[in-house]
Amino acid sequence: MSFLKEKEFAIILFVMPLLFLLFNYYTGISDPAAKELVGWGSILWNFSMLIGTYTMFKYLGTNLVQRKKDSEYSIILFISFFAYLACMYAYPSGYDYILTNLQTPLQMGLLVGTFTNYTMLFRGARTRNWLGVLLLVSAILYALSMIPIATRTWVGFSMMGTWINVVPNAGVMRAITIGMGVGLVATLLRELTGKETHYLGG
Amino acid sequence: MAQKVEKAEKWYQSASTQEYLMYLSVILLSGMLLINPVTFPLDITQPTIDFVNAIRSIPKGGLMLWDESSFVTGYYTQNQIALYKLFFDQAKQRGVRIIFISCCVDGPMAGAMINKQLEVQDTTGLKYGVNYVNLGWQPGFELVLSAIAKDIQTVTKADAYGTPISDIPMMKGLRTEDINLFAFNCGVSCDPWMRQWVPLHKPILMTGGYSLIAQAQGYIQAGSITAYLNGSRGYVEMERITGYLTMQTSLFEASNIMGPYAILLVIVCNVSHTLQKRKKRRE
Repeated sequence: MSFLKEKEFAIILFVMPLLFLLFNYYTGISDPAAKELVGWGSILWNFSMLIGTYTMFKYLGTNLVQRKKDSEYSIILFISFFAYLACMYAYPSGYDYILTNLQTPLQMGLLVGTFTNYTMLFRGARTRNWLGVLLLVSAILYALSMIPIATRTWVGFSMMGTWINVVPNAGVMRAITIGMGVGLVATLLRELTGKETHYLGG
Repeated sequence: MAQKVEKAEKWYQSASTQEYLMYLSVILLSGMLLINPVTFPLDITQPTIDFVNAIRSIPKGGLMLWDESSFVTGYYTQNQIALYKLFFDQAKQRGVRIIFISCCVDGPMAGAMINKQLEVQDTTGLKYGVNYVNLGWQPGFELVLSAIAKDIQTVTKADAYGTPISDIPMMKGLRTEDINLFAFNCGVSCDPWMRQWVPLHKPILMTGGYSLIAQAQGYIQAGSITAYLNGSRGYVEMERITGYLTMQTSLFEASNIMGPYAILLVIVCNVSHTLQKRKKRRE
């Protein structure tokens, strides 16, 4: 098998730029090259979008050919995708028309979903244990601290809501952020040593 | 053998009736404010005051960067338009220059929204490319944030309208260090912005939903985020400070009624659930 197809080659392709960027970050040496490399990353991102589009089309196309359930919606997606894409490059005023008169009202229409939130609250916000009650009470107090009429009614709502946000919530978020940071470093070390190869799809 | 006889459901116990009643109450309650608007008193919170002051205290002729992530809601409710107006007032009054960009992870829609928001701004006396520039949507999310932090010149070769960066007077010789203030609208966790921009040691402003601001509390308390607008309330407070009242202010009035209504629903839900459980136990 060609070396280019070897897993090790892909790891080298990942690890070398990574080490270089780390080296640049801590030393400041080879700044222009590092800037160029970051730019390449943005270009690669575009390719990843192409791959994503290809995968989506392949999946939906297969569904359509096999006449799976609800596959007819794929036709709408294909037409919308190509119409939007073509207008964006070939007919900008058409693109603007779609954006203003189709996409904007449709997205605003989705906000009507807010109605279902109330139903959700009525049906789903049942607490089954004391931790659930605690969470619900905190959420209610925080919500009240954001409602002007509530804070005008009793200043305590504002104080309690702020306290929940600033003390217990901030403490937990700090812990999560630190945990995430440690996790990132650990993953990086695993990647550098070739033990973590999730980026290869493994 | 004893057979369990199911009781007939009363009309108010039907799920669909309950839903219709709920929808009707939402329409009536929020509609009341549309027919008869009531301006509820609103206490302006310190973070909003700090946010507006941070923008107003950019040095004369200074530079700010705005990363847009909002979609059509911000445009439709006009809160983003009010925010842009605040930026442009600084451009007119004190020569502040503005870079608009969107690194939005959700796609190019936010870039398109920059165009729409710029179209409705009063830019009298300002010149595109000299006082402000629109770099549009740039794919790559954190990579773009990283490129901004490293060197603003490497972010893109052309602006949102295809003009080469080298032909834009404002961008000539511009370095990231020249930017006095970074600001972003956050649709996801603020971690990527913090990772890339905090090492620059410049003021950073954030706007985002209540839950995202709650998530950012660690950064806020550490001083990494200088000031923020907390959800729609933050925007409304900003509008009250600047005096550019938009539809967002009117919509927010509804939260005075809809918020307590939502809380009431939660309480009713839990009380009825508890009563039902007790009833079942007795039976």
